[in-house]
Amino acid sequence: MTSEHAAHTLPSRRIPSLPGRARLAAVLGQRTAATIGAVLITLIVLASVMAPWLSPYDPIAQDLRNALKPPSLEHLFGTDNFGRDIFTRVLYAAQIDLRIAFLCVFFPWVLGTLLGCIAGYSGGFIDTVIMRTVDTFTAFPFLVMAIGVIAVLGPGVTSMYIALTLAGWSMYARIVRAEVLVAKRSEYVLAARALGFSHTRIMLRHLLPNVITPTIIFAMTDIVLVILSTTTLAFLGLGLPPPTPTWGTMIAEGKSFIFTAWWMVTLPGLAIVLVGISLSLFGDGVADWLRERE
Amino acid sequence: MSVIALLEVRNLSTDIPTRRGVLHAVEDVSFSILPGECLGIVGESGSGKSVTCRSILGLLAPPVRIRGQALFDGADLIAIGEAERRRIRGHDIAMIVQDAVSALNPVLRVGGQIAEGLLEHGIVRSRRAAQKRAVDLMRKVGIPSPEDRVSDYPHQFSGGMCQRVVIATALACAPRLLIADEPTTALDVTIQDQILKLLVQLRRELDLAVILVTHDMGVVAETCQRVAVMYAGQIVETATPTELFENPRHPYSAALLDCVPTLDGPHPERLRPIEGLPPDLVSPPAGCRFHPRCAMATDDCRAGPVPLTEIGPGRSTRCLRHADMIPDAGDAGNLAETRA
Repeated sequence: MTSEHAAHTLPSRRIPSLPGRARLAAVLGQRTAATIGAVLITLIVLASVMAPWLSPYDPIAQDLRNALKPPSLEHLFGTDNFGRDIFTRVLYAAQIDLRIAFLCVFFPWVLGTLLGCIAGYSGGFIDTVIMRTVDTFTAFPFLVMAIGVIAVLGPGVTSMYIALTLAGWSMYARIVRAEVLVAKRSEYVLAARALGFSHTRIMLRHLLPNVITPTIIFAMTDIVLVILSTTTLAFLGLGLPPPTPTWGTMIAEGKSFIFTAWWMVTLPGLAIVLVGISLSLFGDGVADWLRERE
Repeated sequence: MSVIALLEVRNLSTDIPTRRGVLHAVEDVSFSILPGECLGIVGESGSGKSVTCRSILGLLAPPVRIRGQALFDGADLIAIGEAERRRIRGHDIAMIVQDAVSALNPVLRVGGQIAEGLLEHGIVRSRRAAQKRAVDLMRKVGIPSPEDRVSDYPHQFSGGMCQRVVIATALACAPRLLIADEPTTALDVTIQDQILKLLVQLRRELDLAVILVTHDMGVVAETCQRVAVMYAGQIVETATPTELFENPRHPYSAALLDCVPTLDGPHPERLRPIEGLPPDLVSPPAGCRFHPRCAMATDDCRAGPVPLTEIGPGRSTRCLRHADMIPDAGDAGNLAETRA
């Protein structure tokens, strides 16, 4: 009751100290944009998971008699040149695309954060080696690097993970290193050293939790870029081979029919736009929240 | 002194390379501390007190160069490897730093921070046992209702309570020596007093030797058995607090005491500050480092380095004219002769 009262009297940016979940709810309540983003993402994830129940069609089986049908009540998004229901394929593709996007942010985040932390904490030669590597990796344009790696490894999900990790980790390393350089001069690190703690313990338990927030904020904005990049790679034929549905490959397939069957390109494209918008709305909200907590 | 010293520092020098040249932050510092003793190190900012402590514990990273010896339990802390030194740090020698609030990690619960040393040094194996010890330690350092507060975060504690938590983390592994680097500077006066009383009480209960670094003469008088006065990276005088207060035998100690306001005794018109600035330690003055600011300085003082001279049991000074500082100058010569 007191917390409700506090929520009304405090300026809108101040969050009363509530237990974790209630506080998240309070934060979301104040941020319409973030809430819309969160709701949309939840709906998209639910829809993709529930795809077998939401749609009677098979995403892969061909039905050539019903090829290139425009959107109707029977086929909400129409059908493609093989007669497959595009709505169904968009739903199934969401499973794959969202997982790839999430992991393609997660792996670079882990790798970059660890290496940046080691570089900043160790200093000297190790720092130089890691940071010059970072410079080298940052020098390549993101997509060019990713395409290059996939070209070497061959298309597929695994090479996509490797490619985007290699292309994306360097920014995280830079952010974390800068934070560690500041944090390692703090009294609590000195105190931890005076207590005889090992470097690993100081880095992982004492420094990392204090420097991680900016990387999460960056990851929140990075995920939109990554989802666009992964669909771009899929569009270029460097993602999963057909007939597995992904948004990028669906657009690539629809490209030849753009003047006769606009829905083949447009509707999967809109799915990407929708995911991009929801993620950036949600990501901005979370980033703001984390920044305020700092 | 038949008792074997717990820590014996011999000719410790610490050089810090800077852009302007090598900074001689600590030069030729020697002292020892007995088990259970409280040694005060006083001096103004930049006199090398903290650097001395950190050099002993090996907390200064290269390119800082440390020479000399720091014998603890027969091991030379300066010479042994980092791994060995780490086993001693926190376990046998603990240090608490000046600003308790920032010495605690903001994102970890205090109980975890107190217990962490026990786990790291393998004194306690299970997390639960460590947590129980943390509660006991919090009670020992006088934190009310420790059972409830053990899972609080540092920002939920006041400055004085934070310092108590820091003391608890330092004492977790039952060290034999506690280095307290200005433990009360960041606190207000009433809390300072509480923390000092706590340190004195813990020292007695746990038979703990304490090196108390401070710039507060009052703190020294209250808590220490012996004092070392530092100036410009050197120890200029060692004495008991009583000896030091009644008859300082180095002009710097005397000047430092003149800066302390007193309630009883003669009231000078105003406090006498020490004229001038401490020397630049990249190129310290030749001879006695205090001579540019010293009213008693003679040509001899400028000529060459002044050694630390023993002038009594446990008493030494780095002044050529220490004999002239004995009050009632008539006896001075006699006293000096009888001692010699």
